[in-house]
Amino acid sequence: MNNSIDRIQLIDRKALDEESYFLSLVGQAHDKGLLQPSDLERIQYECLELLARKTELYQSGDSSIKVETAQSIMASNLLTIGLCLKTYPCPDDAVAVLLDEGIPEIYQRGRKQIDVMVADAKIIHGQLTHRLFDTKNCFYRSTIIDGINGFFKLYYPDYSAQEIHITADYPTYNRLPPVEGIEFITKYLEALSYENQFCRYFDAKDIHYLLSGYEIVYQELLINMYGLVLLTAVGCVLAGTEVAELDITGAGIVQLEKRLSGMSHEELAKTVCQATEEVAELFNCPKGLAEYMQESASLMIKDLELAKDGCRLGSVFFLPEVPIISMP
Amino acid sequence: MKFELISLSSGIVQKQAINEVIKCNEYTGPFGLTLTEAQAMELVQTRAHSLRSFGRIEFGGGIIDKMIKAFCDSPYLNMRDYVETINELVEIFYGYKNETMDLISDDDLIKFMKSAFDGVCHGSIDLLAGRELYRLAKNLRFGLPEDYAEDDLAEEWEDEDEQ
Repeated sequence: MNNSIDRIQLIDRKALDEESYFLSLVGQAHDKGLLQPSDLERIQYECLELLARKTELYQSGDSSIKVETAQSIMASNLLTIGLCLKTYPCPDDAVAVLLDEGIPEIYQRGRKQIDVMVADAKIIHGQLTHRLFDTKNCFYRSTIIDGINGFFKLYYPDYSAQEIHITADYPTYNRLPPVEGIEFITKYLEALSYENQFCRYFDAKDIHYLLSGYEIVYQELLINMYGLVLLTAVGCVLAGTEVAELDITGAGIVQLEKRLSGMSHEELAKTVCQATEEVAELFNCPKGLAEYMQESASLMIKDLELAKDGCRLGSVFFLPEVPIISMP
Repeated sequence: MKFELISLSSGIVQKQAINEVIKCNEYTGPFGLTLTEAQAMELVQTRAHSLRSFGRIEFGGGIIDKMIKAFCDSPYLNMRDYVETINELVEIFYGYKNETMDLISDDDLIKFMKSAFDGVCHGSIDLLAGRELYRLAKNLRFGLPEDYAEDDLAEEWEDEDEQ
């Protein structure tokens, strides 16, 4: 019998907007009666005071500023405050902080939090760049190395904490949460690290041949490579072919069509998730990567369902192709 | 909850601004220039209108008092056109803060305006806005010295030809 007393939480963390966390927390807190109108007024006034101080610093003492610039600085301040409040797993505790502390103090703590996140992101980035899987896709290396380095050089959290200043060209397979600034870069790097780690389980040449089978000039395409590799690995498990070689074979595709054709959505989802689990076990993937792969699997199911219903599994699974010009 | 930036037309803020403008009379009185409360309110409203129309926002006391103190000793300013001139100067100021892309500080811009107004413009607001400040904004945007003039370039070429 479980005798633990669960704490009643008035605010549901999942209902809060990750992108505008501070504002949505304040809104929810007001709706639940945790913040009174006088509290809202104080918070609003202190936020505007903070903005006035920041714009004075930004303009080196000049009196006026463009409205867009002021709005941008305000967005930066709100994001920074939100990052501090996000460190409290229970939103009710974060509201208590808003009641007990002034906005300037919360902002300062948020600002320090950003510094910690930037330092952590640099470590993740360093580890990732030292272990990039070998591919000639031009977007992969340029985004991860040059793009992210550019972010660290240009990121100015004092006045534009919400900006990333770069275009994170290379797309991750799993959708990233709607966050901004250093939060986005952290999530992006984490996703890229998982994807890179998975691709490293395979021979670079096998991935090259698989991607060449997808599109011979894949090196110049803005495509996510991990998704294709994982899908093929899952397909190999289901078709009973060798996963490490990433060659599902034509016969394997026929086999798959027979196996999947009569399946309902639920059956297909279960089958794909189980196959993904098998791939994770085969390579002894760590827990974080295995969870990332399961999330990827749930995204694959829709494409697989459409393809199997239209007897077009050949449009989803590609056969490796050895290009005329081989990889050096 | 939305965070609307403070409206400058809010009563308390406006009252404070009017008081600051009236205080300038202590400084400008010896020059024969003073403002009534109504005239001060007119100036504050001009400032608010200019900020709105040029897409700017101001948190501090504003530049009206700086403008008044800078221009009060101008030989081209008298009591008859004092309010109208300051109104125009305030409007021009905010317009050219945008045109100069905030590349020049408030103090430097006011200093430039005063120097040009008393100097080459001979008290003409039209020349100040249409020629001197236009040239300043163009020079700043193109990364040229503030006082650069295209006529100087023609003279340089002539000197080189002669040499």
